[in-house]
Amino acid sequence: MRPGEWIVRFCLILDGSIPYQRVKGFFRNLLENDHAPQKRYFDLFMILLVLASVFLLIYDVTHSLTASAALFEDFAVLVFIVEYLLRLWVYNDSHLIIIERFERASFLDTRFRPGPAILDVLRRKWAFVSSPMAIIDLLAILPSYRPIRLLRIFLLFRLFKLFRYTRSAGGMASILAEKRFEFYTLALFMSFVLLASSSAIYLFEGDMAGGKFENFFDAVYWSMITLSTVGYGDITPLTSEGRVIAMALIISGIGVMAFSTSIVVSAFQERMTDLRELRVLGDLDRMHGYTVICGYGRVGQVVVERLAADKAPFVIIDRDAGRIREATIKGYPAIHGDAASDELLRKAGIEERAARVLCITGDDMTNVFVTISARQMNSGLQVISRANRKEVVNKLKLAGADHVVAPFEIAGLMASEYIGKPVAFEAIHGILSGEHDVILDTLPVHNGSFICGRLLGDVDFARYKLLLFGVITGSDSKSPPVGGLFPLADRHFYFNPPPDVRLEDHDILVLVGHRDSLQYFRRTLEKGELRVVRS
Amino acid sequence: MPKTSIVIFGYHSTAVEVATYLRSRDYRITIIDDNEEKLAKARYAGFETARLDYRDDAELKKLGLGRDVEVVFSLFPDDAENVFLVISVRALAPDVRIFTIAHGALAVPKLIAAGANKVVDTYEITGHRIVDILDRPIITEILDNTLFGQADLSMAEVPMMAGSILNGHTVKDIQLGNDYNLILVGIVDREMGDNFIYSTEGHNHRLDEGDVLVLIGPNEEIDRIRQDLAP
Repeated sequence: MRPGEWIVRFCLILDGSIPYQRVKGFFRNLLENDHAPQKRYFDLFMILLVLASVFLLIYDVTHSLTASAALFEDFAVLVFIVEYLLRLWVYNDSHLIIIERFERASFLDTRFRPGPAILDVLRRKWAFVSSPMAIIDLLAILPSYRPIRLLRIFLLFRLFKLFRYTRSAGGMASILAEKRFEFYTLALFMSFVLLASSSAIYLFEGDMAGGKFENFFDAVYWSMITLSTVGYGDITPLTSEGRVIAMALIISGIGVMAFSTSIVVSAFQERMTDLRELRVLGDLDRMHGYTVICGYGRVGQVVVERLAADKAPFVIIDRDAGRIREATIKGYPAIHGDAASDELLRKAGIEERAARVLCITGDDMTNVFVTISARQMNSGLQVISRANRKEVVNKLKLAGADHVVAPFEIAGLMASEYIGKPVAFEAIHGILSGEHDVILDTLPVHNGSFICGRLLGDVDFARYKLLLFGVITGSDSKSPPVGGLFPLADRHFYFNPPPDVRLEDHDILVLVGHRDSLQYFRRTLEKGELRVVRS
Repeated sequence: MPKTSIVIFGYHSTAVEVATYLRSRDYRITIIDDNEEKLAKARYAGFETARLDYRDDAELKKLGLGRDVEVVFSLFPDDAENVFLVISVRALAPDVRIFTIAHGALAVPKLIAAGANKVVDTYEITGHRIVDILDRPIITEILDNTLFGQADLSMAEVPMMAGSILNGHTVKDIQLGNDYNLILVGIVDREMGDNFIYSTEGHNHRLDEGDVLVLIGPNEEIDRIRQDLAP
């Protein structure tokens, strides 16, 4: 058997090996997947390790290391080496390259040559090794057997390693990189001023007896210190010509400083909202089962306030910059953008991590569009949409909304309910809205609970100051009542059931009562459950 | 029993909905707007209409507020218009009941100050409803299918008259659930300042003339208890 075949066979085994894939997947999550929770812990660990090792280096300058400190340094370097090798490993799948080449060769019926394939593999790995972050990683490891003093400076590259583990640092660098053109201009102007002033000062004072400018480097150093308005004063011009140069340099120095400050400030100002959004999206990446709220109008505000009070996770999307600002001031995560854009919805994690979408803008077209996009992206998503006109209700349902709420319909309903019986209306709405302490709530009956299997008449709800509104039952097997059985989506609601109804597992009691009474009853049931389990 | 006569101001999406609901419950409705196009739409939908400049008190007086008209709905899409109409109507007729809608929380106290009996903030209620669908899907589904839906289950107020059989009984004693398919949510005690007492709280309250029972149940059961309670 030729070595080429051995290699291919080995690669095929790797490709089919589930443990190998699992291990590689684990490390890929750990090192590269920003969404994976374990990466956060790993990053934190690495940051602490880098800081500790740099601190040790600084300590090492004037102190001699103890044995344990040296051991720690060895440990840190070992971790860095292992990390580097792991990154090299998970960077790509080499065996796939070989398999692909082999398959192409067998398809074309030519001989598989392992040489070029391995070269290809090495080339891909080289792409990793030559990437800036990998070079920093390597430089952070290499000087650890520091035979040369200069190499120690490279140990500071460990600090640069921190960029790998923090996202905001990368964001900041990219923002400054956007102002590349301005920085080039500034650098050009600065080098011109520096060159002119250092040559001038050197011309005037370089050959002066007792002068401080011994060589051209001194002149450049002095110019730089003066230009930056730092002005140490260790080297100073002595002649009047030199002082004139210094004055001119100081004035242009103020200009340069102001210019560079303004570049940085404007760069950040322009991108501040983006940065904030990046942060919101970054936070979202780590969440699951949150609510995406499209539209922060009056309805949206009410929803958000209640969700925030319940500490339920959510994110707001709105087109209107003013509303987004309002939301941000209140500390709610908000993204400025058109919810009708698929890209934004995808970024908001509609495809997998969001549990539900609320399309509640004041614009029916947007609501329909967002409903249909969200439904297409994720069929398991709960979609609740708002219809501002009657005709839209059906369209929203067709578009895939699970629930459609219509402000006008609710107002109409309330108006007509109010008209005949204002008192009853207020009372029942008090119960429904939870404004008072008396609420309507559900209580599931579990198998083993002490009310399970009992007749309703045996449970003295009045003693617990509760009112039985009805029972939700899975089956309609219970003797069909005079008209108290109402169909729900997949079960039945039995209004005011008679005392001879027997409670079964999975039934749900619907009770009216004071919050505390309900709480007490619930706890009593739980204790009852315990009793049954023990006996 | 002759049904209450109602005037609805402003024919917009909310008004359409309100008017349709009310018509299905046999109320006498008149729709008022100063826009002929909207009135034409209302007439097309089969409502009685009247064109009126509602900013003018003299014209409002013609309606017979408080005498012929017992309830006024002010359903303009603009808060300022609603406030103006509510205050005009209240000035003309102190006893008429006024129902209005608000578009935002800030308008609610203004409308109440203007004299509205009931203000519904549509957007707020919509918001609450959305959260209810998320938080308490079962309860919401039950209510949608029963009390607020087409199903035959409604709430009612049944007044206690002099000489009613329940007079003098406590809330605890009367087991409505057995004799009628009804749930007694609570009672309003007229003597105690129209206080609403939930039946779970006021077990020992003794019923007397003037109290109002608040019930939930099928319509025929409500009619039955009405008849039975009549002296």
